[in-house]
Amino acid sequence: MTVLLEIRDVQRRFGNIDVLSDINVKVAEGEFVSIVGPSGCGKSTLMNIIAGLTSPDSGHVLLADKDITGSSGYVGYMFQKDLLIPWRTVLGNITLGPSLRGRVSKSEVLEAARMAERYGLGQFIDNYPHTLSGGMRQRVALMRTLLLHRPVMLLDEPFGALDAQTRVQLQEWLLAVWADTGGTILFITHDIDEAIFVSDRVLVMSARPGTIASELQVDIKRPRAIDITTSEEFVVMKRQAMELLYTSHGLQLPPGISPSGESAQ
Amino acid sequence: MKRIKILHGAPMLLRSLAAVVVAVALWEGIVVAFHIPSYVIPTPLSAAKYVFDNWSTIQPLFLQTLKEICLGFVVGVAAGLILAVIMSEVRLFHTIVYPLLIATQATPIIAIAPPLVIIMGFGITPKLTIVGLIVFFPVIINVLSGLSSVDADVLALCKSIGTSRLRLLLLVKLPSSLVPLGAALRIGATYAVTGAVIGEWTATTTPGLGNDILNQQSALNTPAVFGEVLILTGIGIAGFVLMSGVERLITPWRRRAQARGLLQSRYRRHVREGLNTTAGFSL
Repeated sequence: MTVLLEIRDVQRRFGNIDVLSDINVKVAEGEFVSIVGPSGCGKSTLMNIIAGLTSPDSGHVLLADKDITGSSGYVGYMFQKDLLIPWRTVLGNITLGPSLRGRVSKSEVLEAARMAERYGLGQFIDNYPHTLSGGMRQRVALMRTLLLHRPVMLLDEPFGALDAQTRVQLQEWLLAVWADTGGTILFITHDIDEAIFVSDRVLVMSARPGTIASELQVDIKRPRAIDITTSEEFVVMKRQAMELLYTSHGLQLPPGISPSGESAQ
Repeated sequence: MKRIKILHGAPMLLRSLAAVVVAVALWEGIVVAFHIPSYVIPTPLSAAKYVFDNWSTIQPLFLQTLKEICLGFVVGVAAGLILAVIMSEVRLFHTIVYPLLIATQATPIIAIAPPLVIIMGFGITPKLTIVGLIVFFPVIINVLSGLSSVDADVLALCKSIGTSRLRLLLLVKLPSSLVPLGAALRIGATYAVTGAVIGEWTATTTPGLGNDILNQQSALNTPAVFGEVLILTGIGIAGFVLMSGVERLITPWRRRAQARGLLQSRYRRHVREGLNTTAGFSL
């Protein structure tokens, strides 16, 4: 197992608030890792640091042992908002990366078109984004990220704004795409089910200061379909994750309920 | 639902024309019915008749004013666009120029027309300056707001992808100012007419409709005044309609579901070729 992405001793303060403290994460090549944590725990700040949009106060981000701290353009970054450009067609949005970096080559256009075709948007390549549903827009946003061909993709709550059914569809779709394309994914969510369903490993973050409190290996075999979320294996794992999440936050559960799901009577 | 549908396309044009016909008929009727002398308010028909009968003398005046309007409009739009881009890209420039910009609009244009003639002479230059000064303001304000309206997350996305400042300007910022630019073009096209007339109200060696209105007015030839005003109105309406067309042309995504023509063919062709050569490619 070779480490592709390493976050080493990253600290970040905003004013006198410790947003991130002692963040150490290693992500292996081809691994799918999720970070779960409550809102305000600094997940997005961490993503911005890895993407080079924000600099840490101290610590380093290493990509294949190369120090990329504070430099952008090394990783693919997908946001919760699809951020599609309204005047570019679906194909134009998928190829946004190459056109922002120079000229779009014919092979990149072809690749984008094939990708759209393969993932069910072949009919829509000339459509403007306002004609697409939320789920379709997020698919386009992921294809835009894929076409950057970065070794690591950061997905920051990519399905957070979608309705529950669409979100489940896109989770399954993301796994299918990942099975096709491979690559290393760091995925942020506040949804424990989502984190366990998609990941090889779940990192649990605590808030203020944001730090990796614990981690959970997800050994559920792939390919995974959504029905595994009701399997015993999954439920046990979810229970563990919730325990980790709640103990790491010192959150108080309502009386009569324990994190392990058993009644306290 | 049905009502809204009727409001689009040809029926709407017919309705607008009907409204104009009704207004003209009312005007004609009132002037005739109340025996208003034609040197006070002429009938629209007598104004139109004047234009028709004297077209050979009016035509050069019309062409001169039209030239001032068109050239001044182009100058104003170009100046507005260029200034807006520099102001949005260079913070210091923005700070310095913005108060001056407000000052140019707070100054009554009609008051600076005479000194402009003294400075620039009796030729077309002071007219173009006045039209330009009127047109460039909506352009600069709207384009500036368009350039700065880009979602901060879109900018972060572009930065994470890695791009140059020029490409960011050309591919993201400028296109996002096309919608407000369209609105500014429509406003500017109608204001430009006023600018040209004010420009001509000072001394000139190349008379246009604006000059002639003053001359006819002092001769109490009111039908001529109204006839020429109607021509100017027509130019303003034509400019507005033309710029509405330009606005639709530069913002196709606002009224279409799919890109057409040049905007798609570049991709379509590649895609067709590409997909044909990958026959057997399966899901």
